[in-house]
Amino acid sequence: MKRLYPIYCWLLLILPTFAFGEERFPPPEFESNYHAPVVQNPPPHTVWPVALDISLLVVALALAAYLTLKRRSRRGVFALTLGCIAYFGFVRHGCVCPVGSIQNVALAIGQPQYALPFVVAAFFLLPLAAALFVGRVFCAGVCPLGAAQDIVLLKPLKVPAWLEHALSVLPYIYLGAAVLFAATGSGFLICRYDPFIAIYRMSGTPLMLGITAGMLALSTVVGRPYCRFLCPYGVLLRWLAPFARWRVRIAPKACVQCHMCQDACPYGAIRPPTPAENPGGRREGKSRLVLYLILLPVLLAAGGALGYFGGAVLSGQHTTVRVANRVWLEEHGKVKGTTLESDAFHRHGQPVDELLQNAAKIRKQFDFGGLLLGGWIGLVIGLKLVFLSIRRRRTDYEADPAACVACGRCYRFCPEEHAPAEVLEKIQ
Amino acid sequence: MNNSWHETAVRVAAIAGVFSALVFAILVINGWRSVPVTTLKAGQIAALKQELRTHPKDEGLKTQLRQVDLQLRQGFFRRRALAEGGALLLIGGLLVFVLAVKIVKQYRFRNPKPQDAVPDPRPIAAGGRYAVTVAGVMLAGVLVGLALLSRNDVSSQYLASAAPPPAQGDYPSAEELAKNWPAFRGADGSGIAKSIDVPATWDGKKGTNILWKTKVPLPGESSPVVWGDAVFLSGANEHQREVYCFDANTGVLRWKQPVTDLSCADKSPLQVMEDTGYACPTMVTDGKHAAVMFADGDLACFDFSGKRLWAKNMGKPDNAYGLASSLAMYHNKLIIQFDQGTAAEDGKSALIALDIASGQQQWKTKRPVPNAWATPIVINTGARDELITCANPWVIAYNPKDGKELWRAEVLGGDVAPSPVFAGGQVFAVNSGANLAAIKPDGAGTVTKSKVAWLYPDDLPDIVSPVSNGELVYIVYTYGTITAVDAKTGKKVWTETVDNEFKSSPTVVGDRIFLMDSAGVMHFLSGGRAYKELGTAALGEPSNCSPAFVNGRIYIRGKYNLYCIGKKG
Repeated sequence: MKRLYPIYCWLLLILPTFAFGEERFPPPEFESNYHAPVVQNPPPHTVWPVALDISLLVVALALAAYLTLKRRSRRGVFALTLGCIAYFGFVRHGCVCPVGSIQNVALAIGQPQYALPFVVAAFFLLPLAAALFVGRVFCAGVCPLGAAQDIVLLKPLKVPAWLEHALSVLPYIYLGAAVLFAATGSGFLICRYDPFIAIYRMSGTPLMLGITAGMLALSTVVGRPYCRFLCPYGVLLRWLAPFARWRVRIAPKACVQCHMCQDACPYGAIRPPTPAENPGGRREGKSRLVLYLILLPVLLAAGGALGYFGGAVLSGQHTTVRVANRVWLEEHGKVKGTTLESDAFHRHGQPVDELLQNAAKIRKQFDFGGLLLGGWIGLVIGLKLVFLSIRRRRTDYEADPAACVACGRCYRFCPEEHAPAEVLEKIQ
Repeated sequence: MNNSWHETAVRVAAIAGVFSALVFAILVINGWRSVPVTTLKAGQIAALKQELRTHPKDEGLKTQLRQVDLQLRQGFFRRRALAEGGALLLIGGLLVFVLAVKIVKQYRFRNPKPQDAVPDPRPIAAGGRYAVTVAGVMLAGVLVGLALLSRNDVSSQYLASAAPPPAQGDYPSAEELAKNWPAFRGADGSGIAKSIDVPATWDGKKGTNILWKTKVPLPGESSPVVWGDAVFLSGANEHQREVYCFDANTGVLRWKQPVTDLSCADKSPLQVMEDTGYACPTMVTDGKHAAVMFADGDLACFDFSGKRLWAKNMGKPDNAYGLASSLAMYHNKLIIQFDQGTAAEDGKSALIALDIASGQQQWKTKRPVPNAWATPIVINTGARDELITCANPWVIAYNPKDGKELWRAEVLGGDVAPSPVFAGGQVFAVNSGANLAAIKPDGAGTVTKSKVAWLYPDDLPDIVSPVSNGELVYIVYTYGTITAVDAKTGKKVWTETVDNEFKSSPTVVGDRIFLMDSAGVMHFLSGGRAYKELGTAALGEPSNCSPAFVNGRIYIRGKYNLYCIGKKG
């Protein structure tokens, strides 16, 4: 029965996501007494909802920092998680969120005619600023994506370290691809494949619902799979959190090295103390490090070259290029018939050569963008190998500031958190 | 106590689980049952529709069709309501289930057991390096795959050919342009004649000072453009569009070419105002090419022998009164102010530059304005070339080389038809209901507060473009109010109301102002600081077009004929 329990949970979590997969209904084609309502332009955003969103984000970040760092309360963090799911998730429908705001920022940089809204800029910057001072408290309970995974985590399994290292490169690649697609105006990849937005909007395409179901099912047995192995915003938080002066410290005074915290952490974010290194091992380590440092520019260049030559296929994701490709094929008799997109283009009346020129311009952007993306992938792989070759010294069990999402689970298991001083002395 | 809470949590979890499963089962059955019903009804509707085509007056069939359609819609919304309500119940049930399970787990919680040895990090790091290397190889494989697929990508086929052709540098000099009349209101579009030794009187009916007069086959409001011994004109009606080349010396129609085989995807009938017509935009010529545009967005270019070099349809303009902005030219670029839509938010307006020889697009800049009817002008400020455009509410200057915006001033409003002019180092833009504005064209960004020298708010024209000799700016309201404003101060110098209607734009000819009324009578006004009509000359037929002044002659398009006026002998 116990073994069936996770399967049962999976099924129950997957199933409701399909509830709203309903088709839209066409309007009547014949005359009736029904009068279609006049299309209403939505009123412009007023100031107060924007101010409320930003204020609540600030309050939530401050509360998360207080609960994780000062009160060290897992229950408090859990309550905050529920609150943020309710507001940033179901009330605001998961938008705007800092994770997706990366794309708005990239779009504003890549397409100067796009003005970055103030609220988006605030959502992008505030969690990063918080990470710089108090670590990843945004992930702890404010992010509705992280919260959805955290709340359904039922029976966490340990991800093997080698697999964790391999998968940890994915968020960087996802970040690079999302920035490329947003900056070229091709679309918001992160939003398109957001695994949790279907829950908060209670609607979605079959693909979205499938992704949601899969990710929720995985989240019941793997701690925060999206946050750890995909989240592009997590990359930025990872870079900033190690600089935080105030961050999660497991043992309030002195670690008794029981490593119960490491066993309890479902996210693999606790690092053990390191044993002494022998001289032979140190020499070998240095040689390896030098090798990887030499390899770094090679990987960068190779990735860039491959990415440059792959830009054409990537550019097909841009609507203009896709339509231009189709129209060109139709005009040269290489395909028969038309598509909805090519029909719409012809109906619009734009000259074909103008379309092709626009597409060629975007294609060139993708050639350059592909070069950057490929180089970025090479750099990430190279740096990952370099970091895995650097020996760090730790005398105690510590929360990795880059990986720790400040959920507060480890506090409960730390003997020093609860035991009297004399008992601790005996243990030590 | 603890045990009772534990048991309660177990029961709640079990009840919530069963409840969720039941709700889910209902949702699945609801979805599964509704699919065939939808298909069946939709098929039934299709069959009824087909039957209705053969019996279009069968009221019973119509009633049946409506009933089936209503049933289908009611069923759809019932199912949708059930799905929405069921999903909410399911989410609620699952939330209770997850929370109850978490409480149960708390009661069954066992602390992790510490192990003795700290694992050696070196094998872990080695495994990590190995895994990352494998991941790197896989990613490299993906990139190689993308590169291989890109070799045959369609975009590579048109990448080279779609690139804008390099600028050829083969364009007429400023002197050549000034000697001719290559565009609407002359080379600089400001309505200042370089050839001032023209007759001060003529009579179209009697033939006084009429060198020749030739019937124009199709009507049009476009004005003549002249290069050397060629006069170009366009004409069109609802069904035909034509380009004409007349001999400037004899008036003989050298050639006419139809522009009728261009396809516009939008096949709906073109709506234009009678006053605007189908051939309102004036052509341009650079001495080798003559380009024409019509109200339906047809654009074509001919050489001087009448051979069509290229043609394209720019899309049917979304324009309330009909396309009226004339073509402009900068070096080898053909400039089109293609302002469309009822509001700037429509995003339809653009300024487009094409290579005049090939028709290839050089650049295109979106414009934040609705439809407008003004013609752009190219000016040289002494420091740079600027392309000046007018529309509601902006006067915007662009770099004519690349279409990048240089500056903009918010001084206009309403339906903007008068074109801008440049004289005495200032740009003058005007429209009825807004202002006559003098703008210094050396700014950057929004210059409404910094570069607008003055605004004059009265007696503003709605169609006729202004003209300036540098000292005064002349504006003409359609229904007969003529006003001179001081170009330096913006103060009114004089205003006069006459009993004539004006649509043709005035021209500065030496120290005189030539202004033709809609009846075809040219009024010669003194260019001084007091209103004085020096005389008039009648064409003999109505005219709304602006005249061309070249080589001591005046070319005027009447409603039916093209006239060449000059001193005989």
